[in-house]
Amino acid sequence: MTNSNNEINDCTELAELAELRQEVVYLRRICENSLGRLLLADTQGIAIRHELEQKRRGMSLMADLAMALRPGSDYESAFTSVSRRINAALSMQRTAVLVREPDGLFRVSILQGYEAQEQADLTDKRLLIDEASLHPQSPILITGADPDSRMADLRQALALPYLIACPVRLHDKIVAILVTGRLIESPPFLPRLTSSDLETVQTVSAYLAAMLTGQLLEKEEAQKRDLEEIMQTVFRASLDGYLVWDSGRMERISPGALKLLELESSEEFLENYSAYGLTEAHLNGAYRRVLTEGRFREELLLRTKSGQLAPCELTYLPLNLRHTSCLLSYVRDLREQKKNEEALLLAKEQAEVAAKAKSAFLANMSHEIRTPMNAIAGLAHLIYDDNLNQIQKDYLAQIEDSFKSLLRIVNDVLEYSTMTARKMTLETTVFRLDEALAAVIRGNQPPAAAKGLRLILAEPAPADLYLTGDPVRLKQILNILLDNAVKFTYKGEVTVAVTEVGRSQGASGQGQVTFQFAVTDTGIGFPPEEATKLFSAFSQQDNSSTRIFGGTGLGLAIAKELVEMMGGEIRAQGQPGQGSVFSFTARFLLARPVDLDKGQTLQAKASELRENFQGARILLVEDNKVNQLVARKLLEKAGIVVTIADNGLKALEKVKAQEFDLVLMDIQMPEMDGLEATRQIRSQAEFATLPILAMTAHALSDDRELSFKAGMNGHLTKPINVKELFVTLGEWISAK
Amino acid sequence: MQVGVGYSDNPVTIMAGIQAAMEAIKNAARSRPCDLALMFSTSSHNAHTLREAVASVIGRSAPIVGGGATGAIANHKFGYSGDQIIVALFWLDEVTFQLEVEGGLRENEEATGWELGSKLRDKVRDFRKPVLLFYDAINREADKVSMIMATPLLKGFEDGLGFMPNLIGAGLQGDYVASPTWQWTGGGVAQHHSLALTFGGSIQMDSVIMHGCRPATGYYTVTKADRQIILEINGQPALDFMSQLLGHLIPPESFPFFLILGINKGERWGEFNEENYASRLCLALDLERRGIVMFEPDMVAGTEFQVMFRSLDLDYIPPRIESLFSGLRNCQPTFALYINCAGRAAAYSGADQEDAITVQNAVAGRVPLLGIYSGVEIAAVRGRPRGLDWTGVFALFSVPR
Repeated sequence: MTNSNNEINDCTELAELAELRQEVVYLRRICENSLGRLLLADTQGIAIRHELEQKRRGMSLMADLAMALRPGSDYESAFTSVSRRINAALSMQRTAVLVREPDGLFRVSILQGYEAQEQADLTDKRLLIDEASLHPQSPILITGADPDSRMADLRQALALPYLIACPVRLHDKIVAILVTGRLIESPPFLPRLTSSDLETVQTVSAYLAAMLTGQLLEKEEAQKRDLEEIMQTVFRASLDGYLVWDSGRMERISPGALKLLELESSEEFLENYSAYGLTEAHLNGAYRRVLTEGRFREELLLRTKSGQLAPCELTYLPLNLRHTSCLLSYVRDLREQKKNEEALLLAKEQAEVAAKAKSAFLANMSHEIRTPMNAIAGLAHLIYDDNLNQIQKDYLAQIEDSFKSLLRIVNDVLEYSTMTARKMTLETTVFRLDEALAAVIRGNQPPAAAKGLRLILAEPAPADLYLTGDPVRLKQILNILLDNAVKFTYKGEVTVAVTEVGRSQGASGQGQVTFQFAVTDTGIGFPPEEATKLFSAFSQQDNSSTRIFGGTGLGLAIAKELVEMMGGEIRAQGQPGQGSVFSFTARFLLARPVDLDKGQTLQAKASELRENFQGARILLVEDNKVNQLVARKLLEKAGIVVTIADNGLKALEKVKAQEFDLVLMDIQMPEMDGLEATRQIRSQAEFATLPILAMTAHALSDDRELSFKAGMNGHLTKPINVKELFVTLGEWISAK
Repeated sequence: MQVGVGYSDNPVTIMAGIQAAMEAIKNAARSRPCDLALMFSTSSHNAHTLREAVASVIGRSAPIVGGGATGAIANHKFGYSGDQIIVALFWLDEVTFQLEVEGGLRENEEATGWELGSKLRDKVRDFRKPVLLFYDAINREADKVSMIMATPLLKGFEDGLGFMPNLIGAGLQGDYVASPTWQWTGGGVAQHHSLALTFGGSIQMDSVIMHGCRPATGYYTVTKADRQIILEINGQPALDFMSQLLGHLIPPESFPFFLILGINKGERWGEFNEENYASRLCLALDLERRGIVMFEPDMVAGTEFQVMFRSLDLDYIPPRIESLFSGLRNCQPTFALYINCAGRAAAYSGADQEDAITVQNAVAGRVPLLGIYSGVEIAAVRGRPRGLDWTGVFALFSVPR
């Protein structure tokens, strides 16, 4: 039994053991089957915790940035702070900031996580990035799942295969791109970048943009405040003031304007501005005008607190204040300016009086000089007789030369004075250029020949060329140049050359022609640096030349003025000892051929006419006894019957008492001057056609004008040019 | 002995060094220059610049010892995978120290260990005295990375010294992607070096290991291995065996830095005791040989192991730290060192909370705390120091009251 009991027990234990073994195997299977699930919970926990940690770091990064980016931080420091922290915070290996340049390229600006050499190579490199691929709502995420070709240039340039690129926008413009990423994908520590990482970087860049925008706005606000402060300071310091008018209400007045009106507080003005000369109606009118015309300006009399009237200049402008269009008016006190203007006006009047006095003085001097000169010249002329011996003839010739020199000097001085006073005008008559040139050559031939010099006209001007201009002034210019050339040349020749340099259409549609005239000599020349000085008034090469050669030194200055009046330029070229060339251009109108009877020389005409004067009756009105004598003798020599009246009053009596063919009328006389006498003669119908010629020492062009206005037919100046006298007489006496 | 700890995560290296050093001095409130500095930083900082920055604050007489860490933990701050730097300054007073440094790890870990141990043979005679062993855990040549092993280093060290002292330590790395890392060797900066810092005088170091892993299976046996590569388990190719065991929910590519194997040094079927387990972490896969690559080469043929799962709550930590404080009796705690596996950071472990915070709370400001995130942790399992994975090693330094 015992054995069987033992056997039963053994069997039971074996069965239990087998059962236990089965249970262990069963439990082991269950355990192992659950192992995957158990560890899966681990992996899921890791994933969730990892993402949470990334988010926590993103938040922490933004908190850090808020601390790091102080007001006033610029782009550079903001981006530097971000890029420094982003690698650590988001487990990135490399971060770069690409700043947008004006040309649209992106400059590599800040690099973190790069080796020193890589940084040196990459910094400031410019990259072309397609901005269309940088949509703010979908920034770029590149992982190992993307093809290598995707954004290959950017990845290669930044040596960053896996990256997130987020644009940073200010005012809807991309100012930079934040690029951050990893070199490898190595789970679990550097897993593949996910949309969660992208969201974090996107949030950081949006936060950065918001912060920068805020700073920008703060900066703009600060700049506005600065500007306002500057404006206020300027206005406080300025003598000018301003007013602001808004829809029927005076809004503001500046301290400058208050001071002008002698006010101490704005309230005084704002409450009762019309008391100071600014009415509501006037300002409303100005407001309407500004709205339609824009800025405008007016002068207005304002009234100060003490009642003084203050002339002011008000400049009105539209002003947008709090989105309302207002009227801004700058107020400038004109009291000081008006005072200055009055002073200027007074000074101008005084200057004009002085100028008139100067003109009168010149006229008087002219008259006073010419009167005795007339006597000298006339008497010398009267003395001249074929019966004189050679010595007497030589003396008379020298008197005549001296007379001519003196006359030239007087004329130069008067002429230059007239020019500088801008009183001279050019004549416009039709003339032939070839004749004008021939006359100049002919006139200068004697002095040239006297010095053994050849005077040559290089090429005659075309005979059929008719011009409209002032031949007298043209000849005057040429005479000045030729006179100088002959004066400063001892041997050789003086050449005159004329070249046409251009034709054009004048304003009136008439053809214009420009000539260049050149006077070349083989004389003493001058240093080139003196060329421009020669044309200054009272300037000669040096003082010694004045002593040696005489003259006023005004000739070239007069020539220059005349040339410029003719629309030309004058210049001088020379070398010491090698002669000189004076050239000028002058512009004339082209004219149609006309009968130029005047082509006949005055000399010939005078001789011819003199024969026709036999028995003619002339009333000579002259107060100066010597001049009476000279004129009478000259006229009587031509067979003219001369009656003398000492002044205008007596002339009136004479013309009424007897008949005359012509009256020669002096201007400046006692009792009644020649102008008045002429007017009175002309006022009587019977003397309407009586020729009256002024014969006066008043040689200025104004005087000529006055003579014609008084009713005279001609104007002869003293000293009397005998030939001119007889030609003129011939025109009127023969006509009669 | 007095210690002051300073922390910074300033991305500007000079500023980071200065800030951390100044904070350490401020926290110690000592006027004279310190005697020794322990310093760890992530590899985002330039090692030379950082050393200069710290030296400019603490002076050039105190040796600066330390190296890379993937993060740092102080009493009230912590961070990882960024720009962290932590400095502990020591005013040793009645305590002495000895620093020995040896290079050549890349060529032969065991020889380096032996040289290092030999240098200390005449200087360290008391096996109870604390030894801190730090070494460069990264061997990177161009794109090829391999880990430098603690196991041969420790073997060589024990052989060179003649015994295994009271040792804890860390295999150092500066980031999670195994960038080259540097060591501060007292007076300079070097690579692939091992440093042994021993303390003498009346100093005591007590440590605990914490991994929070529990066995999820019975025992399996490594039947074939080549250094740190397990080639076969229970006679089957290791990768295939493990894939079959874990099923399709955990694909093999998830194994690296996730799969933890536990080696129980205690009673085979006894009550679970964390102290008895050495955790072993999968580093990579050897697809060609169907093998599983581990951090350390100590899972040789015949090693029995269990598959472990992680505890997602960290309640296991405070009592273990508290046990050290409460066990001090007549000693005064002066400094705490926490060497934490880089993978235990919450972002990579899935823990509900950062274990760094749990440790900080447990320390509760009673001593200055210097913690680092490391590649490999070294601490004693059942009295014998060894390289560990997925482990937090907490050491409390104390001196007699």
